[in-house]
Amino acid sequence: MNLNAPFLVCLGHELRLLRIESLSALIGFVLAAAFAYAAWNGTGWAQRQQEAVATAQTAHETRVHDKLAQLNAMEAGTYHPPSAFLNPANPLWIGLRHASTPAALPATALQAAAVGQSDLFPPYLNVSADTRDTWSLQEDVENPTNLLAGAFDPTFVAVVLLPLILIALSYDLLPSERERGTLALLLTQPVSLTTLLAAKVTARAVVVLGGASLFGALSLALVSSNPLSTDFLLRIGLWTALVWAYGLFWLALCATVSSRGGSSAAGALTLCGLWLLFQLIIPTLASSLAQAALPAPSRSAMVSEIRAAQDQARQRGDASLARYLREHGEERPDTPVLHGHDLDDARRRIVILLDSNTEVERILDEQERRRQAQLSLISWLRFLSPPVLMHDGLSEVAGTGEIRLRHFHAQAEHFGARWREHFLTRALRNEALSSADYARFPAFDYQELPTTRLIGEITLILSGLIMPAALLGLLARRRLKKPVAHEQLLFVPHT
Amino acid sequence: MEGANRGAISDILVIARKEGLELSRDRRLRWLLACLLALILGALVQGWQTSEAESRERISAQHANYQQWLEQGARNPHSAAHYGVHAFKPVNPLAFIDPGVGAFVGISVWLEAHKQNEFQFRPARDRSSLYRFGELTPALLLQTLAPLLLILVGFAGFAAERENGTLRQLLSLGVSRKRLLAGKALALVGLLGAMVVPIAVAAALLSIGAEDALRRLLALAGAYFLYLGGFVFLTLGVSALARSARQALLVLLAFWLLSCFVLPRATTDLARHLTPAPSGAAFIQALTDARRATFGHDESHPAFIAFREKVLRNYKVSRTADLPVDFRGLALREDDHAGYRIHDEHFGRLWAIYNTQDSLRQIFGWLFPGSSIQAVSAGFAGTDTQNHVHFARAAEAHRRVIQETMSENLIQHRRHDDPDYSADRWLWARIPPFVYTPPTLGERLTWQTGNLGRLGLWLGGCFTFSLWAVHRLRP
Amino acid sequence: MLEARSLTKLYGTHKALDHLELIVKEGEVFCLLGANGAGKTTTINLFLDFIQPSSGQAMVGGKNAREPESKHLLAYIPETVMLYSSLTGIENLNYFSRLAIGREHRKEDLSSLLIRAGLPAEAATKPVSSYSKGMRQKVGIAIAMAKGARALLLDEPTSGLDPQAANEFATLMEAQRALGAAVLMTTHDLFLAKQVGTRVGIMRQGRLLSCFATAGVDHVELERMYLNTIGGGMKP
Repeated sequence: MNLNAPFLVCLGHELRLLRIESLSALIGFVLAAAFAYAAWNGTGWAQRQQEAVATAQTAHETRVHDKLAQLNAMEAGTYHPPSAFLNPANPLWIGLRHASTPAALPATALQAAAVGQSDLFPPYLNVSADTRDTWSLQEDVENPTNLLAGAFDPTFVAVVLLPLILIALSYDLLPSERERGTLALLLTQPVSLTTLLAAKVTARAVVVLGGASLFGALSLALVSSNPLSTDFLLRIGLWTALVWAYGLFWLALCATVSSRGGSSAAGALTLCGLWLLFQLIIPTLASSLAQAALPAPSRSAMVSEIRAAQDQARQRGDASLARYLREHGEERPDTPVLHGHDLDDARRRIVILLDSNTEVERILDEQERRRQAQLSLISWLRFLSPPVLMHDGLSEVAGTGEIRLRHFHAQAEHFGARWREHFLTRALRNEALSSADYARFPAFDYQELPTTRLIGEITLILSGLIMPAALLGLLARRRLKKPVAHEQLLFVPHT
Repeated sequence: MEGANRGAISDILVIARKEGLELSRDRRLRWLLACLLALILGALVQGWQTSEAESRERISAQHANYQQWLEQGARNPHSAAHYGVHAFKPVNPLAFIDPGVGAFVGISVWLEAHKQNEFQFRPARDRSSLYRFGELTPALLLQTLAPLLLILVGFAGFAAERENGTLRQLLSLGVSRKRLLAGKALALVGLLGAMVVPIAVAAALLSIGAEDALRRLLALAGAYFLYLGGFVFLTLGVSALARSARQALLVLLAFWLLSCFVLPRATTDLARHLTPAPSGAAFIQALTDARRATFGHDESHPAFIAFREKVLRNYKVSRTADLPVDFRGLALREDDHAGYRIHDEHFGRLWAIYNTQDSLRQIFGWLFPGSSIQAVSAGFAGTDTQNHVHFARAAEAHRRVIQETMSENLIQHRRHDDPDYSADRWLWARIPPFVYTPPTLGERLTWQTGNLGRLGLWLGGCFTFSLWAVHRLRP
Repeated sequence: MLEARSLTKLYGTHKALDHLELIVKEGEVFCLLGANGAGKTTTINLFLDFIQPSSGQAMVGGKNAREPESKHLLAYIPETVMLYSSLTGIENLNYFSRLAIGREHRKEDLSSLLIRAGLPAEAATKPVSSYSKGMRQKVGIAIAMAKGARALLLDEPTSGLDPQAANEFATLMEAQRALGAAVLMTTHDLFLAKQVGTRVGIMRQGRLLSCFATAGVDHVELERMYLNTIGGGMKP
């Protein structure tokens, strides 16, 4: 390699200038401090969520343990349940309340990188045999002002602050040479403007993006529970790729603005305007637009619909029970658990529950379908704003994005159906639970989102970042190759 | 004296007019303003429509819900209490100006027997991650874009005059620095007016008819005056002090970023670390643990047995069946009262933590006013956490009315633990439809005294700073 | 080495340069004289390809100035040589010469170049921000020497220099000329033109009105001819 190729000479020179003006050190310090604080916050949030899962898990185990102890005592004849509700052998209330179990979403190795949507969707659902609406829409308890403000997590640093640092260093790539007076001397050397600009962009990419990926990865590795796992390495690799692609987009934007000529102040204003456009105007506009075109489902209407469905199922209760008894009334379990009024009550409750659940699930699915309709419109609109793309990409990489959360919810809902089936069929048959049955309760086994799905999504987002960056780069190159480029850059027309 | 005053005022007007003339010559600025105004008026109308639609939905859901309550048919009053009603939070008529935390609190709460529920269905859950980037509303414009516009228009105020040498001219004419400052400030205020007045008028027109909406709008306008007035003087002060226009711009932009983007988030996390709030699981666990002391439906619970003994003693009978009232009803009421105390304690503690977190966030509101104006604006628009808590308390009070009425009915009318006892529409209609009385303007003002004080301090500080800066101004 | 062929530059309808014909041979110093706005700097800028001609050609060593290769032959010294003020003289020289010739000089060579250009030895390792105008000029000459420029384009190189510095500069120019460089220089300094110039051209309103060798004229005559030409024939 020729170390004296103009590109390398310019690159070395730019790096030296950044170092001499103490900018590299300053940027390094700012990035390190921001990422350290952000990683601390991110990991604080992740821990809080995992503690919540652990609390729910412990509560579940304690409840089951207590019930099992009662059951053993009952089998030994030392305990007499005061009611059907408290009876540890009654599959109805065990499935509905006492054994209701948290279906939990495990943390990824890179969970601290993004709060993402995880502050709106809790990391576990307390699944019970009840109708799906009672547990699938659970929300965490959190100060709403905190939710509104958002978190200072590594994603915030990368999405919002990183472009600002890049702009602060690159708003005057070529104008600064003119204002300093060195552009004339440079242009009398056999080096093309494109080479010069490319070297400047590369120097900033090396310092800022290098620093960001280094400090980002370092701070995330420090707070990660398992920084050597393949999960972490894969995710941090995608994280770094996203940071570079996103950074290159902003650098290409700076290069294009610089290639237009104009003063450095004008460049700074233009770039600030663009930052605001991508960061604030386009996302909020797109959000309003999507809401107007495909409104999110109305939850207040849903409440009334569900209530109406339950009322109707209750009114049909006697008929449903009669039908059940007609079809299954002959079945006699070996170990009946309820008798008389209690049994009637329980069966009526179950047939009503199952009847209303069919309708409830239809309503919920319809709501989710409408929600997804807006989301899929937005998944196209977001390509208009690299910050939104980046935010989504980093959330997905951290495992707190819509796709992974949706994946978890689908599994939890499926598990809920299994749980309901398991307990309510027994309850209908009036079959007592034995202590052996306690060991055979359905368990939630989360299947992680396939890696290919994650990589596919990130590839899509990466291309949404790199393609505009490449287009901008080409635009800058074409401008600089024009015969009038020297004149435009050297002599700013007076306005 | 009067002549001197007239001289000062005419000087200031001359300066302001010249500044205005310069601004109006700037074609880019005219375009920018026009686009911004169109954008925001569009957003205003769209936001108003959305919030009207949402409001109608909730009102009709509330109405339907009450009908369902009335039509629930004959059943045991305690089952009716379990069935309960939903309380839907009404959309505040000013929510379209500042939606505040609206998207991040649930829209309704189920008022059922035995427990105080959390609110459900945060609208943000049904929207995409785009929501994290904000909502296009007048609040966003006034809190974020308006200060930026002031900075972009005003940063050159003194610095450019110095670089052009026109400042030497002006000062050599004997123009006082204070008048120069006042004139330039007046021009910026005029620009602000060109943007704010159309919004304020549109907002006032859209919210005609809502009770105290106009008075609250006035209070909002006052708060934004403090906030943006500070930015006018800060911009001019920095411009006078900076070595170059470029330096002034950089300093002001950095301040704007800190105040509007970085600090609100950074302090949120800090507040979370300093005063941690329990997670949902921990909160529910704590409630459950506390509820262990109460008996609920568990008739083998020692507290239940003790209560039964006490009742039998009081009525001087030996069996519950001999009581002149229904014992199950009495037990329900007793259990409910214990539950009220526990819920008040736990929810009160949770909300107190939220309050502390919010105050921590606002400590530096006098220096970086972003957090203060966010709080005041949402507070007056009725969309902050405190307003939400106010509603939650009202809903809980209504739940207790239902519980008390249902238990009282059991106590008075059911006999001998009759399992088939039922009440009908007559009893259900004893529960009035849930009507929420929002806090008065006076209450809202007291909630925001601290923040308003900080905003006043901010304006005063910026004004003093700009006076000091122009005093030091060297051509 | 430098040749203008019917070189014309229009700004709108204004003729900044009007069909200039000019040849500067190797070993020759050509001084362009003329009032402000006469087209002197435009000529330099056209040879440097900073601006493009409306018609005609600027040739450098037989190549069109529009071709990048022409840059290998050129060196440019403006009124104030602007450098990276946070870097030292040596570092600046190193950067520009590496860009110019595509290889690196040894450090000793760079210092000796600076010394030959007249920069005090101890100044070479100080940041350029501490340099005087004359010292910057010398770094500019050192850059020209380092790349072995065959044609020097100087735009009012001595304006604002004190007499001693101007004199040193003239000596350096003379040395470059003796080495065979072609020098095209604009100036307002008639004494300098007489002192270092082999030929002088006087411009007015974009046209080269007269052109003569300096050998046969003295200072007084040069001044008279200059005033006559630019004053449109008016007597002083």
